[in-house]
Amino acid sequence: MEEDWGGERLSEREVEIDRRLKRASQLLFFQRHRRPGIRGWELKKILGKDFMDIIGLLNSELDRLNLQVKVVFEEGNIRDKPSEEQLDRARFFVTIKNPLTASDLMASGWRIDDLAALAASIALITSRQGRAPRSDIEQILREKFPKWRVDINLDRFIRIGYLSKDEHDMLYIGWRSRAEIDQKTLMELLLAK
Amino acid sequence: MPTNKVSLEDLLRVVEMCRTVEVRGVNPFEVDVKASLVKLKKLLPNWRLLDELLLDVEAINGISSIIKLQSDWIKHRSSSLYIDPLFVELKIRLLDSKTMSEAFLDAWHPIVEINQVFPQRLKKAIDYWNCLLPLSERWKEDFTPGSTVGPLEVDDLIKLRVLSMKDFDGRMKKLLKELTSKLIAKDKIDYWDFIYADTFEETLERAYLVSFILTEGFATLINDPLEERTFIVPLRETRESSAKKRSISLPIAFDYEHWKRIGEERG
Repeated sequence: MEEDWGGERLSEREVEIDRRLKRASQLLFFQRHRRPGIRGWELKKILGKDFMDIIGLLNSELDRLNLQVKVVFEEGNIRDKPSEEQLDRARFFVTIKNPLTASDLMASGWRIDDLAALAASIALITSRQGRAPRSDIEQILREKFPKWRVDINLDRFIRIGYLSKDEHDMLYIGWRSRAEIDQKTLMELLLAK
Repeated sequence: MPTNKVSLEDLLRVVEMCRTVEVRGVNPFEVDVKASLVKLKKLLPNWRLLDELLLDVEAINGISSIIKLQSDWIKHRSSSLYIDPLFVELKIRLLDSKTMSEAFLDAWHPIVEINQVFPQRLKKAIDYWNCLLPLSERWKEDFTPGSTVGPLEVDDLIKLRVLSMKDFDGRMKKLLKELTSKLIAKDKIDYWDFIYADTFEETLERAYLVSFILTEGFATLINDPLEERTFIVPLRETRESSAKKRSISLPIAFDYEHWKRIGEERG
């Protein structure tokens, strides 16, 4: 009798976890605000205090689909276990886990030239401690691309969040780059080529 | 007087140097922080005017920013991301677009997101479209001479016969009575517990009336950030004294899904 009762409770728990998993995937996949992703405090509010356990489960489910939950902390890379406050402020995204292939690139709608300009901009900014004057980036990009294309590209990278800028026209690594680009790998690959 | 002018120029030079280093992103160790601070200390007794003192504060602020930049510089150099910027520039100049984009692809993990219109939202949109009058007719109503654009107040709703004053007052007083009797029994009541009713419409109406009760100063709201709960508490001060204090608006988001969830939580 006790075992049956215990079995029933376990099944209820499984149902509950399944419901929260589905909710978590909805929250992460469907764009709710202008920017994709969702803040940790929003996930905590909806999924409960143990939301990181649910995110961990979701991550293992997504792994089969070559997807992953990426956590971007406001403080940048965190070496130790993040604190509750850091998790609250962090932004959670679903990203593709393994690198794309050249054919994926064709389907993505990005031109090779544009990706090269983005790679160069990010590498230059990363090498200069995460910030560089726009004029310096423009100068280097103009060696390979026409001025009009450089202007359009930089404005586009800023608009979609790969780069950000301040009132002094200083360019920084944007929120999207921090979510999508493994900067360390990019630098290593560029230098190894 | 000329000495003071020279000193002021020295001070301006320190401010300008800090600003240039900050804006141009050059090596912050180019600034000799110790020498600059010694200079500021030496110049300090010369300052008499407020503007001079403010400039001195600005210089100190600039130097503190330089110290922060120096700290960031060391952290970056000791991190695994550090590679000489000149070497990176040289590499970028040498590589062609194809090689660059290949390297980028291996480090790129694009965000996956879904943009979708749900059937419910689509139905709402169709209903809205069906009810929407042609622009020519709406303009006739909205922009008659002398009409002004602004939010609808309770008075407007009464004029439009959506609401009657007697009705509104009566409902508000009834709810206020209920609230007062509950607040006598308890110090505070959970906001959602109080406004929740058997139907969504009724809950919405209670929330609307409670907003008027709170604005009128019969009670107030407090937030418990730890428990993430909102409570209605009696206002212990007189309405006059509380009106003198700065009041803030507290928007509370509420929709059908939320109402359903509260209902489920309440069992």
